[in-house]
Amino acid sequence: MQQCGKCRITVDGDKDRCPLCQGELTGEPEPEMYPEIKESRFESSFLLRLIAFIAISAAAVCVGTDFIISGGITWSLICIGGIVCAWLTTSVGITYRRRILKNITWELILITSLSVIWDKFTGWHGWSVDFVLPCASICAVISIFIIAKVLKMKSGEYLLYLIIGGFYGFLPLICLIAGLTKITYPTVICTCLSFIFMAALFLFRGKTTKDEMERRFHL
Amino acid sequence: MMILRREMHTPWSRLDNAAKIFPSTVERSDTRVFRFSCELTDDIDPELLQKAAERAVESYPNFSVVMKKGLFWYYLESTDLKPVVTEENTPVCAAIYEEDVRSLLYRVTYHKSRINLEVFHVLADGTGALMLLKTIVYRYIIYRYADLFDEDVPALDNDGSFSQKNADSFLKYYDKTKKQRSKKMMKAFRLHTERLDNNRLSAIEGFSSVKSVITAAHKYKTTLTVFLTAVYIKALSMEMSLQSVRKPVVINIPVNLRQFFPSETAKNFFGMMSVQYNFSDRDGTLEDIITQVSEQFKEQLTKDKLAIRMNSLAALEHNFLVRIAPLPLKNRVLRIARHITVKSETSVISNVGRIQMPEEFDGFIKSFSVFVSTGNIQLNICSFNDVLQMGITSGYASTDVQRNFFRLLTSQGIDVRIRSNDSYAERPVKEEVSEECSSAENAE
Repeated sequence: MQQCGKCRITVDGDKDRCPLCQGELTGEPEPEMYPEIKESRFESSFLLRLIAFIAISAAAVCVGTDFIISGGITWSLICIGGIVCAWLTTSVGITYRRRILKNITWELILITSLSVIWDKFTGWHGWSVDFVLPCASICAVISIFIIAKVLKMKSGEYLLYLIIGGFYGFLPLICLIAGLTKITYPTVICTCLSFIFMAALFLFRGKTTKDEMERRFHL
Repeated sequence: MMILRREMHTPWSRLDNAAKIFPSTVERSDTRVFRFSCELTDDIDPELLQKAAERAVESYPNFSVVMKKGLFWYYLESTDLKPVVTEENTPVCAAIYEEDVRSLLYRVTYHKSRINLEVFHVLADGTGALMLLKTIVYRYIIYRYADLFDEDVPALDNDGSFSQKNADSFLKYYDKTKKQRSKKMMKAFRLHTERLDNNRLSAIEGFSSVKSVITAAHKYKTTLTVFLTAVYIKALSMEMSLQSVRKPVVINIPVNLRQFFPSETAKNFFGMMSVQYNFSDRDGTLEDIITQVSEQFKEQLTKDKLAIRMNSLAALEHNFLVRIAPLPLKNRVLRIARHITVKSETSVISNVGRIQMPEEFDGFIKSFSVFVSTGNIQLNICSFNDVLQMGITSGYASTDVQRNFFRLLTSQGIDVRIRSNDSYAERPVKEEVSEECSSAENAE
């Protein structure tokens, strides 16, 4: 047992100095009662900062090159748009890397919104609502379903994302009604599948779906 | 195939009133986790501890949950995850809840002869967590020393059905009519010293004999709790600058409401009382602090006073505007509110009281310990038989308050044995040490 004469206490374990006054200890040390803790494991925010750094550097190089070649900002604007989109999607992917279904759901919302914005600023050719929105919705719902089955998830873990995905599948229909859609067959397929899917969900998983909604939205 | 299987219902529950604040206010410097430890006489057998933990938690369904986010509130969902006992490899009160990770909100670890139970405050308060630790220790000792207990196994003193343990007692005793008029908040004295790196928590505990502390308390004609509170206030005041003397030292003390409102819940059920002492208008002797603290204890520790405070807290949760605010907004508001209220508190003292185990186990158990995470500094007290544990957790590098506190105790003729993790400013430069020590002696 070690002692600190100044604090008039005894000290457990094996210490170099008094834990209270950092003074010298006398007496024989005993086995230490606290384990040594290894610190600073991998910090996840580092990856996010690294990606932000790469995005900013890439944007700076693009603008610089553009300025030197054409004496002003011309094509680099499009580059910056692309860089921002890539940065957003990878950041979301990293943030939710541990929850794959949440990841897919957020990526679905992000990618479809970004493509509508791209479409809008590149002269509205309609490709975002014609193809991206319905196709992405179908892919998301199908992949959520397959992943949930393969990973043998419990209904509480995947139901919310299936419900969100299912409702998202009706967005192309709304676009069609609003007259935004020119090429209709992806929208038609997506809507039909969404109806079939939601019907299955409510008929065969009605109670669980209701429970899930209740707990997620309780006041 | 999913469609062919029968639908299973997963039970879920709301967070109790006190728990609602915890998830929103988790910070890296305050993980809202607390630790109970039990030191036995022999080294721990991990396999038996695993068995004991699994068996013990079966009696506490409110611990077998994961926390999830809803649109408006967090909620707890039952899970069949089992605790996995590991060797202690995280700092004291390390964070438990990680967003998007489905895991239990408590951990059972061991180191040499010590069993640790660390609990995220959302699940339970000290009383609730202690019920679980006692059951784990109880099971473990019975498995470990099976040959000694083969005939008559001593009984553990907690009963209470699953639904009683799972009850939200705040809701049961909520009375809208008894509310507190909002008091003006006063700024309290706060320690402002350098923090430890990496938001580590320093955990320094002192062990003394309960009898010797009671003897000292009796010299001042007071109780152990009042005595230790007064000594702690004195220890804090010794770090006050002339500037801060006019601010009162305010100590918040959680009170176990089960003593006043019958309940067997293993969830949160505590209230807060606060005692204060103003060094600028009084003489600051230990006698005077004791008189003041003792009066405030008497005044505040009544059923009516506690009910009023409990109801004003619960009223927030019943407020319609608060309820319909989406969770991210709620989190932000609660975090800001917490930063404001913290300014009116100097420190917290959490006294768990006497921990009882069957007498037959006396030979196997040395002591119990309690530590609570804090962004500031906090004193935690518990006792087992004649061993009084006083654990001070702190986010600060300096150990001046701890030193003052334990030196005040030894100057009262109380023997103190100190144990600590290694999170404090270690090995400072030699000159600084001698200077610091001599100035501390002058102060005394």
